[in-house]
Amino acid sequence: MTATASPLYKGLVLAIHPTSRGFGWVLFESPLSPVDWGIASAKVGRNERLLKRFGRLLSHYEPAVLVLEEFEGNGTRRNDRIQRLCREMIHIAASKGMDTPVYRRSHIQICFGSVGAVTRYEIAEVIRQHVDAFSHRMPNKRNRWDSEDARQSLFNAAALALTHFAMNAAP
Amino acid sequence: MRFSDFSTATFDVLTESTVFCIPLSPIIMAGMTLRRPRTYLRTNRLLWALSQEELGELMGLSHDAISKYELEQRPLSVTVILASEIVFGKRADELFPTLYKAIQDELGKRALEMLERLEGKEDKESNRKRELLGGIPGRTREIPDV
Repeated sequence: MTATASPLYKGLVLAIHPTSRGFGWVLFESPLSPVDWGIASAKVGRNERLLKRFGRLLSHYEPAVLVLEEFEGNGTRRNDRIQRLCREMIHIAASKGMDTPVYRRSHIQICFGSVGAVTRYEIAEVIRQHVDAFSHRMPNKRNRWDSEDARQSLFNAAALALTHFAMNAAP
Repeated sequence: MRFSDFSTATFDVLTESTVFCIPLSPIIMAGMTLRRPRTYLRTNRLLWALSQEELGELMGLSHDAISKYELEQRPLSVTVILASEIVFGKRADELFPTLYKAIQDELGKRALEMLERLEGKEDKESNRKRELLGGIPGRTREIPDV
């Protein structure tokens, strides 16, 4: 009987992009091959519920990597709740033996800069073109007076995962 | 390192100092298993923007049943496997690799046992059986370890 284990396979990569209402998440098996994705939200007891959702994701899929965007330090404008949420996610993931890289937004912009995408919307547009699974989830272009579409967090998470793959690819 | 290089898989890698990682114990890392998803039912449902209700309607099942199949809380039925192949246009080994691999491996072992029992028999029926059983390895599919 035949069975192959690709030496390039490094486990499932879970990328999370927190928002004011919850988080968008994408689970990738390899670049451009998402396995599962979604948007989690909670109105009351937000961090507690979101962490339960996060825990269920980890126990179901057992990803090897959790990727987040830089959430504290100079140049970030994340509020305290989101900073706490991200720290707790990293703590839980690390305790399960997962790798927990955190990328700056500038890393994502470098990764997608080669195709002329700089803003979050432009990056989402590039992802929509390359990842068929997300083509129907593309949000409309945001007006300045609009709040961000929740679906944008899905693309932000995907951009993080793709940046992770690009930065960890064999030369 | 560019997004446009994904298709050719030739990346310029950024230096390690540009990434902030929480250092992990090598012992913890050694214990990690690199799991693959056991079923791609949910992946394909989401890919085609179907809700659990809609997929359930197509397959003649409740949304709750679809949820249980997706979460691997209920063993897959023949109906779900065949219906999934028809709906998504993919083979069972692509949709349910773990189950397929388990069946394929077990079947291979039993086929070898049967072949061993046929050793020394040269009647027509035995030769016919040998022809079938000997062809099984060529009909198996490569499935990544899960």
